[in-house]
Amino acid sequence: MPRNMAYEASSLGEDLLWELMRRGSLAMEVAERTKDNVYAVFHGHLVPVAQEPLLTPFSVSLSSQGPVEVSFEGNFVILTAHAQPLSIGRPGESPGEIKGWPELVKLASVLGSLLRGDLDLHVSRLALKLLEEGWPDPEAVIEGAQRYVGAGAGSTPSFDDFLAGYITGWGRSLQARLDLSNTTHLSRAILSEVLADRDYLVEVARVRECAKGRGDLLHHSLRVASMGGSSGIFMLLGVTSALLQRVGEKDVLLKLWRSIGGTHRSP
Amino acid sequence: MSLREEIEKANQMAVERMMEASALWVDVVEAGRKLAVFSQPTILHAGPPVEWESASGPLRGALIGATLLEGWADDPQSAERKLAKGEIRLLPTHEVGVVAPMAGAVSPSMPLVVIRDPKYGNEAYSNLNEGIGKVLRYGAYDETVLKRLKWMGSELSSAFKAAVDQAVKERGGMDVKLILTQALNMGDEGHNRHVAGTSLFLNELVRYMIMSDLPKEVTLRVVDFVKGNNFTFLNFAMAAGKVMTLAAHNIKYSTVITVMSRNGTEAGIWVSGLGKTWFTAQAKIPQGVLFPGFRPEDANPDIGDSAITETSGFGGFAMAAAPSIVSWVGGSVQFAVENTERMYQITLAKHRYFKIPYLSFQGTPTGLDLRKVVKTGIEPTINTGIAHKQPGVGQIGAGVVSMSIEMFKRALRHYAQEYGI
Repeated sequence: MPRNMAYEASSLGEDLLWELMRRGSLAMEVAERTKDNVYAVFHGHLVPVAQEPLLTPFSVSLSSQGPVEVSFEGNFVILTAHAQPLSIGRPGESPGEIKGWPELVKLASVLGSLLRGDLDLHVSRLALKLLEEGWPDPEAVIEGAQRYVGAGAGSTPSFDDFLAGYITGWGRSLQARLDLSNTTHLSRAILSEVLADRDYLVEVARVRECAKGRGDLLHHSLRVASMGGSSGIFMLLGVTSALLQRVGEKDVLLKLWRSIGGTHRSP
Repeated sequence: MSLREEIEKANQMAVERMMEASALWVDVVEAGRKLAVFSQPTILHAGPPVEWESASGPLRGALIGATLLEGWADDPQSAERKLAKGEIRLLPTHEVGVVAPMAGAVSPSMPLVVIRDPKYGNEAYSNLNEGIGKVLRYGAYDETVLKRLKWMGSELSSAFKAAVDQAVKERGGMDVKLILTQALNMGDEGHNRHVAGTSLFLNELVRYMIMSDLPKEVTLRVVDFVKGNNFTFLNFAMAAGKVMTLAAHNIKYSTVITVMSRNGTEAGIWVSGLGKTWFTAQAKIPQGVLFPGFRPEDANPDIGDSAITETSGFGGFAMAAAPSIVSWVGGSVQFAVENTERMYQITLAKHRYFKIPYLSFQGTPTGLDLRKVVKTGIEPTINTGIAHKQPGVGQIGAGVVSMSIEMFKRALRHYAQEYGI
């Protein structure tokens, strides 16, 4: 993303939007830049800014036209509202039954087959081991996950992507704490948000809700899978794993991970 | 074996077979003699199945023209009535191994070129190319169009038949894949530019025509026709593409796309591991360069089987090989290069034989992967002709179009139901 350039935004995360409409403009310091994304910070929250950002309650979605002016000045992103943009809203958790899990598993297994490279396949084996050993207790999974935080390549390591999906999939019913000192700055920021807000990863949370019949499961699964290189696929596998654990489908869960290449077997 | 490994193995096999398939021109034969489907009045058309009611203008025009050519009606109005009543059956070309550009109308008296792949035992067919402008494949059907088609079905096809018989006698047939390979090194991309391909084809054709003792005036008329129509080789390249993708088709677990085609209303695909099931979405309107006097709103949604070229690893996917094509389809050389580079993201391999000089002789992007298309959201780019939306007008330009992501999403859902755990 070039510096000292002006853009426009068509949609904003609902929390950031509320603040912007209240104040009229916001200035946020840039915390990190990747090839296609800028991450700023607002009141301690990570603000992804891109044409196709990670969708969160604080995201800024750039477009060719929009009611919000977005300027990059030095190390700051300045938002100025001329009218109200669209809101990226949290889906919220519903109490519905997770009836869509069979379709989700089929999609996740096919999309999961795109994982390549020793490191990603290694992470898939770690996830399989963790889920098998921790069954049926999600807190045991989180406890076991502690030693793998930061495993994998990229600005958000693959294991962390899986974990973000898994925690989102469990929703508020899971109490989770993690020491995030061993991972990247960006991943730490995202996982911290996910631990505090189970709808922070809006698209992943939508998959969780679509599995309960609230929306188009294929559409939202593909939205998640399309994120980054393998990040989205690990998030999709994470949310699918949580939902399978919630419905007690241990055999399917293990089969899913083995279908991707995980070979861990219980002794 | 895990699902991932099954898919990987199946896709490797599909791509290997697609690249290794041979494509020999071995015959010219009347469609009605080659294909059993013509036992009742039938016209083949490009793309996924379509009925008269939803057929686009250029397809309707081509169907009317083919009906008149066969003598099934005396005038366009009665041809239209017969077609509307369903008295003439419509069938997709791909379902019987045929590929034909634009409307793709193939009726029983039309000559088909036969392309054979001895390695994997497949055959594919295409009709003969009429040229550009006012031609049947773009929906024109006036007297000049029908007269040309009649000549093509008699003198031209007889001359081609004599030549190809000679080629078979001398060398087992004419190697279309070899011509295509050379043409990609000479500035063609194999879909919308066939300047090199047609010249190379003519080089071989002339020798075989001379050897087959055709009358001098016939040879001259055929040479002049081929020389005057740079798209002559397109139909041979398409049938070669079809025979290559047939070698990759019907492989269990494979996510390789083996058909992309459009009928002017809808576009559709086949997936290797899912047989002959069509997955469709609305066909898009191409963007490009229009002939003088036409406007963008005249353009019909995309039409034709010619996307078999991209499906088999050339055409729009090899745009970087053909910088001159931008004068025909629009855009810039940089766009052509970027397009090829983008296609690498949704394919499985670089072609072993089709190379791009400008990209340091890298192989062309080959083996379109259904999963990669939906994962990346990158729609395959097709180089195409632009037909007027009204029947009877013909070609109005050329350009670029993409295949809608929606059909790939539908295919993925079906694939997941079939093979997902």
